[in-house]
Amino acid sequence: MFSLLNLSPTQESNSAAPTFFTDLNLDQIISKVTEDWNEDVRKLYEAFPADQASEEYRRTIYGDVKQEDVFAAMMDFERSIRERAIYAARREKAEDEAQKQTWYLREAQLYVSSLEALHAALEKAMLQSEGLKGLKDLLAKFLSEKAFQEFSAEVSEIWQELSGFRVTLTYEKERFTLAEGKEKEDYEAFLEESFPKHGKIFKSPFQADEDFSRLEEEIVRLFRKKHKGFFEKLGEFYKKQFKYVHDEMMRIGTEMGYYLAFAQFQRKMQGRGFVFCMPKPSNILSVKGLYDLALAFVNSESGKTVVANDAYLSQDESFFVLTGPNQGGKTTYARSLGQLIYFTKMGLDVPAEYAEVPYYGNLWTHFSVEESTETGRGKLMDELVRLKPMMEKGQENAFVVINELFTTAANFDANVMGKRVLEYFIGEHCKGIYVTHLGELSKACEGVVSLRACVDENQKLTYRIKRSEAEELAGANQQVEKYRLTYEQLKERFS
Amino acid sequence: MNVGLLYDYKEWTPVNPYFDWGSMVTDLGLDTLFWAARQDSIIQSSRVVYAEHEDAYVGFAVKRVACVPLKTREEVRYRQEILQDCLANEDFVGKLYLHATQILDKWDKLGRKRGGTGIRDTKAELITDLQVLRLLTSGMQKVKGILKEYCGNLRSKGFRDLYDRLENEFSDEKRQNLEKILQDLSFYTDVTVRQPKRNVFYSYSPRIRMECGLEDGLKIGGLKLNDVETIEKPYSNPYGIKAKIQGQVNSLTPGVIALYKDQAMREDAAQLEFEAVNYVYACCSGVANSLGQFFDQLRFQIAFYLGAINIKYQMQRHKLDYCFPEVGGQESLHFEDLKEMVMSMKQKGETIGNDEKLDGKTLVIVTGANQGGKSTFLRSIGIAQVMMQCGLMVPAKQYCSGLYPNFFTHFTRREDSAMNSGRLDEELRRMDQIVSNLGKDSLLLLNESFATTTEKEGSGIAYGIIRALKEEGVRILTVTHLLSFAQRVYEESQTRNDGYVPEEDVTAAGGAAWSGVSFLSAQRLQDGTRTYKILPHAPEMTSFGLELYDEVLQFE
Repeated sequence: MFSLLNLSPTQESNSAAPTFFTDLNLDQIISKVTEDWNEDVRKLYEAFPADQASEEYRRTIYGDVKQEDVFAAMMDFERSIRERAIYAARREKAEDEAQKQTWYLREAQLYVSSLEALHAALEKAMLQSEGLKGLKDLLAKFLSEKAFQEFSAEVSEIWQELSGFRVTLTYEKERFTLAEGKEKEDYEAFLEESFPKHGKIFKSPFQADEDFSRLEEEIVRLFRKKHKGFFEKLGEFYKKQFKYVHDEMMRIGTEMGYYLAFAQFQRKMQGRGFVFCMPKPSNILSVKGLYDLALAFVNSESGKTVVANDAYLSQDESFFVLTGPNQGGKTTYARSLGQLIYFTKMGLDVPAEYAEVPYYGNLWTHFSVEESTETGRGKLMDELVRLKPMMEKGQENAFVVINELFTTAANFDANVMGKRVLEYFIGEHCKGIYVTHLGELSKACEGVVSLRACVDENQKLTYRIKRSEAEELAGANQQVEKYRLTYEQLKERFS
Repeated sequence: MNVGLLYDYKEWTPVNPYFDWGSMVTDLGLDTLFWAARQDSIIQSSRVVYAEHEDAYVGFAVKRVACVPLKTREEVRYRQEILQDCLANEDFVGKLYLHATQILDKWDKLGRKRGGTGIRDTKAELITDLQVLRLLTSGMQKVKGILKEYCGNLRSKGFRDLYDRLENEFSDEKRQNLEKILQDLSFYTDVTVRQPKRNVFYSYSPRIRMECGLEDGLKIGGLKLNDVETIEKPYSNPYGIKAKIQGQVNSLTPGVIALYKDQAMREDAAQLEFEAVNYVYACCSGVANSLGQFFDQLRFQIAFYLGAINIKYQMQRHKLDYCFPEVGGQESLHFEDLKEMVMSMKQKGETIGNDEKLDGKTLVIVTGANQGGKSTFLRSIGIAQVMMQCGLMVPAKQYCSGLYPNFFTHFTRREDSAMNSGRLDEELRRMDQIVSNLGKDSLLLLNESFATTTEKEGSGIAYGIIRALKEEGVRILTVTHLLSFAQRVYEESQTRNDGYVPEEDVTAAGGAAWSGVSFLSAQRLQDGTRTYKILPHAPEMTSFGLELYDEVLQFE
């Protein structure tokens, strides 16, 4: 079965969102991404593709979707499909037989033209991905079917005749007078001359309502009398009830929504100055300018930006242990790494300037529940219970994000437990990050890389994360130095 | 349609104001200047007689305009020229301001400042919009009339361009088109039943012709407006016998749809009528908006010049000479009989003016006797600079200076100079902000800065900061009690001049840094009398505070 997503069969039916969704604030991101999209599209963000090849399959598709022309064409297709659904609903509701038939005509016209337009656009584009090339072939097959071609010709013929009708309406002295054809008088030309490029249109007040207004009823009645032949033709066309919609296209339409929703969101964020890049497959993890997309979105709403960080993990290295002052950006950093892995696995672009990301089999997160009023024991129990499935399944080669484990346990206990957790995951060839306030863990075992949230010389938080020994910085400086106002500091500031 | 009386190339927008305008207003006492601006002056036989009325808006406009500095000599000249026109044609300025204010008041009465979030009746809004358009169209015509009346007397580029621009952008043809449209739509805006003409009531009613097609779902679409006009016809009761007969006739005529007794149809007709009028108005809305903006801008910009006229009268009343300042190069600063405007207006009797030639002096250090007029001197330059940088005249016989869009004041107010670390911290924080916002062409006025700590510490801080800033090209005028600081700078600058290189490295480097420094001091005669004159003078190790102490306490 042709698909743009290649989900693994088991995951397809999976209904609940994975736990890392809330931990990494992906729920916030995805609900923004799918804001204008339906539930079916949103669901697609909750499952990883089947395997490494499928990730790559998606990535190349997404690369194509980002092309301006392809994106526009796919968006148009999506819009037509949605619009068509609105007309279908109206057709079902309509009481007037002729009105029903014209809604049907409109549906058919939309479907046919959108299929043709999408095919033409894909034909024209320089496609790189197997996925979209496949889609193009599929469309070509549909369009070349004989019955479909005949149907499409009939649709456009009736459609053109209908759009050709014009009538002049005069409203004066408590009555409307109707006359067929056009008139010479042209107030619009006068307006255009007086106010060049005003760009306004004379809207019909009745378009919003699908039912006939009293006036329309009368107009259509007069029309029907005069153009009997046309309405008979329309009636016959409707009676045939040719099955022209391809079910497969409807499913693919939803799958297209998956890429489009993210591309749309990415454009919006890029417009606000945030960068994205396509991750490269690699043996090492190497990222530059990585940031938390959820935070970036929230900040961008108020015109603020975010601090971006780098990450590097060689083949021999396994786990980051991140320490540093409170509110120093530790959790944000851990989240942004988790998001990096998620978006990479989903075959989409990642919120970073540059990224090389190895293939990871799965993504696990464990975040402490903040501000819990539970007793120490209760919370510790809760943490261990949540840790259990991650350690039981023993997934090789997963990426693990752990944020503040065992905060309620005694320091010594917490150290020992933390070390064991690290050793376990490293032993399972997992990679990941462990955020903790326990400095000792940064030297817990082989493969651990110590990171630190930095402060500047004034003890101000910088939200920068760097490789560094876990340590405390010096105390307060003199007032003048604090404001960087000594002669030497000023010279430095000006240089 | 631009007014263009504040800038040659753009309308007023409050962008790039002084970094800390609030502090400048407080430190320089500028509120008194804005008070002067809003005093409506009435002149009788060349004496200023006051009206009770104050126009707060005028003061507001001057304050707003003053907070955004001009950046080039041309910009300053542009406003000065317009101001000269205004001073020569005061009644013209008054008329224009009055007219703009009246138009805006009427607009307010039509409901410009509609409050609340309740659902508005869109038809009522549309009617209001049309009425506003009518108001602005005729208002604009009057603006052109006033300009035409005075155009023979106006010399400045600003007013001449405005006149030409209105002739072009609001041409008679354009006005006639707008008037035609308003006439065509008058059935919508005006009370339908009109004054009786020879015993017959007339009413306005619409005649709208449009083209349409059948679109999705056989619904009316693709509308095109052929014609809309208002026709005047004798009034008849829509439910009377005549209407009934006409309704019957209509219903029998093919191709005619009668509204008679068909409420649904009547509503459809009303909606179509609304859309048609709405569409026509929408086409004019761009012009309507720009007319509205024009009047907002006109009132604001003219208010500034009206404020300037008021300030002139206040200057005359307080016997202050004024001149139009000259924009010189960045190194220039010289003036003749410069007075401190704010104090002069508050005090009775004449104040002392100062003459200085500080061209090329990028650092001016003022020391000397307490109560000797040092701060006044510093403020007089600050105020003049602000006035010059917004195009006003300044209270001096002559004034020439560069333009400093990055203008900062760092004043320690005497009353809160308690010696505690919190105060110093606050001072340093403000200095840090200033340093972070320095730019090209910066001017910094320091008044008793770093006096919230010991003399020795304060001097050290001042030395470091002022030297670094000076080397960065910031022009600094400082009034200070930190005599060790002043002495040190004085010695270092002297050694440089006579070729002597001191032993300490820092001092040696310092010597090179202190070129273009001027030392001034409040004059104190031999008998201790203060003349309030500021004269060139090497710093001395005393500020004669003890004398003041004796003077104040001598009767106890």
